Amino acid sequence: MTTEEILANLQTSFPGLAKAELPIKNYPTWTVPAQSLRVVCERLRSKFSFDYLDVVTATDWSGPASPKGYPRSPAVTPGATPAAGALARDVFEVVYIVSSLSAGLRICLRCEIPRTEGASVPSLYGIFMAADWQEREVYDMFGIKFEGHPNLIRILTPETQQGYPLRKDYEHIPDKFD
Amino acid sequence: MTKETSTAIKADQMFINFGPQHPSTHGVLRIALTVEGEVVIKARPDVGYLHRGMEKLFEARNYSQALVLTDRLDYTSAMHNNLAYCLAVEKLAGIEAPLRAQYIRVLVSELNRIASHLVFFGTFGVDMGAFTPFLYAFREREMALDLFEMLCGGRLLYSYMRVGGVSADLPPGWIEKCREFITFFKPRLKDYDTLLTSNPIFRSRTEGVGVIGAERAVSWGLSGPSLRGSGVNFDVRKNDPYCVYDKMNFTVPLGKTGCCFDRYYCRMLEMGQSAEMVLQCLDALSGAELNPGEVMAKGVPKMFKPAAGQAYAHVEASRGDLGFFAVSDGGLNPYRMHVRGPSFINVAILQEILAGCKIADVVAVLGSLDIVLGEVDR
Repeated sequence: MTTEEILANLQTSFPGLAKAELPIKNYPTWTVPAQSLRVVCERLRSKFSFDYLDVVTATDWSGPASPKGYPRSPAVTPGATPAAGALARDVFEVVYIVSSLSAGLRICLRCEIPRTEGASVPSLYGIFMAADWQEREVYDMFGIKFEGHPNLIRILTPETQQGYPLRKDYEHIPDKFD
Repeated sequence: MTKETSTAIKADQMFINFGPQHPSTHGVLRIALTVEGEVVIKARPDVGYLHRGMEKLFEARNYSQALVLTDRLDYTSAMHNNLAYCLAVEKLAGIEAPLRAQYIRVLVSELNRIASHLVFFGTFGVDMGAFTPFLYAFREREMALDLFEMLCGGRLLYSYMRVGGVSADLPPGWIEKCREFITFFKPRLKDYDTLLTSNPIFRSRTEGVGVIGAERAVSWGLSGPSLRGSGVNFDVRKNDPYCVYDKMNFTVPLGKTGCCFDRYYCRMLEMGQSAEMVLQCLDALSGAELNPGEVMAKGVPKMFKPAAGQAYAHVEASRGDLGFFAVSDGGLNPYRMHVRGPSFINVAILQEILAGCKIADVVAVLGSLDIVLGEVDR
């Protein structure tokens, strides 16, 4: 079964599911509304043997990045940080890559959510155990909450960390290590 | 980081901090263990002690400058990191490396895999109380590092690959030196088997310990030899070939039960396969069909602006499926760069498989997953 057929099959139950306009190169890319993300993944796993979660990550499209986010890098001057350009919009884009090891297929799922303080998407914990730490990482870096995750706490940065480093408006607060 | 302390335990239990300064954690990993007698009841791995904010740093450098950051991820197999990064950026910018560069990339990747698995072989032996194999492993590894030094000047952090190819062609005499190394190295694999693989103490400490079933391994997203040790046939080199791996003749070793020994032995067999692939690449490179000297794609500037878009490229690194997710906004710097570190994902399963283990087996299980903390914490 090709990914096209799988998409057509899923679209009958989830009309919000669509092909992305700007795909991830060489990979079939779909956009999923946040509310049907978990059901789509469940269906992909149980019906189409997509049993392997490669990647969970996110992009903050609000650009440009604040130069104050890089305290020790003299190379960074205003304007040298990426600007998002025409793509700038007030959203977080959560990106999932799921694959079927038996069929050798790989699908990217993209889910756009409004860029607010309490931005949240449903957690894939329970469908894929690999979501456990990867979702914690995204939470740590972007502050996106994953509803249903049993242990959503910071993973890479210390609990004293203020703010979410990969948000474009992140500003570094000097601490005792500076 | 986990705020795991000794407060919530019962009277007959004990709380143990394994690491972050423990030699067998191979870096700075902390595992918060709750034990009852000798049996581990609960284990919570705690990472982040080596976090350098790599993904943030990528955004403040242009594509050529960011390459040197990738070396510092998994520092025992820097070539794979360079390769995965270059493939992602090449895909983003629509660049294709010349065929000769692709052969060199495969060649150095496989050589690096040997060097990296030798570190595993040596340190895993030390973890299990056998010091001698370490000395043998590092003797051979030194030869591989000498070859890399001849190639690019670096012994550990190479930055040898460039977006669009590799920085320089093989120096004169390198192919012969490399052949000498492989000729010396291949019989050593038998030595390793007699030294460690067939050692009864080593066998009894690893066989049947830390078993990961195939279904659990897939669900937890394990990759590399840790996944193949459980008998799951997934190798990026076969399933999603990149460079010239589709022209290489090799097999993917698989384990049966998913115990520590299976993961160990998968790596040992992989070294033999890597040595074969190195020879195949050397044969191809010593001919004249691949234009000597043509190792960079034409017209790739030092600073370039890929069109706005997203790309994902992954390679089979020594520790598993290493992926780079790159987002461009059309500017000089990557707008976003995400690293899928196989060590980071492999280490998460510890919380499940350590529960029920004997405390002495914690070291065996951790060692058999072969993590590098530079990649876990990024």
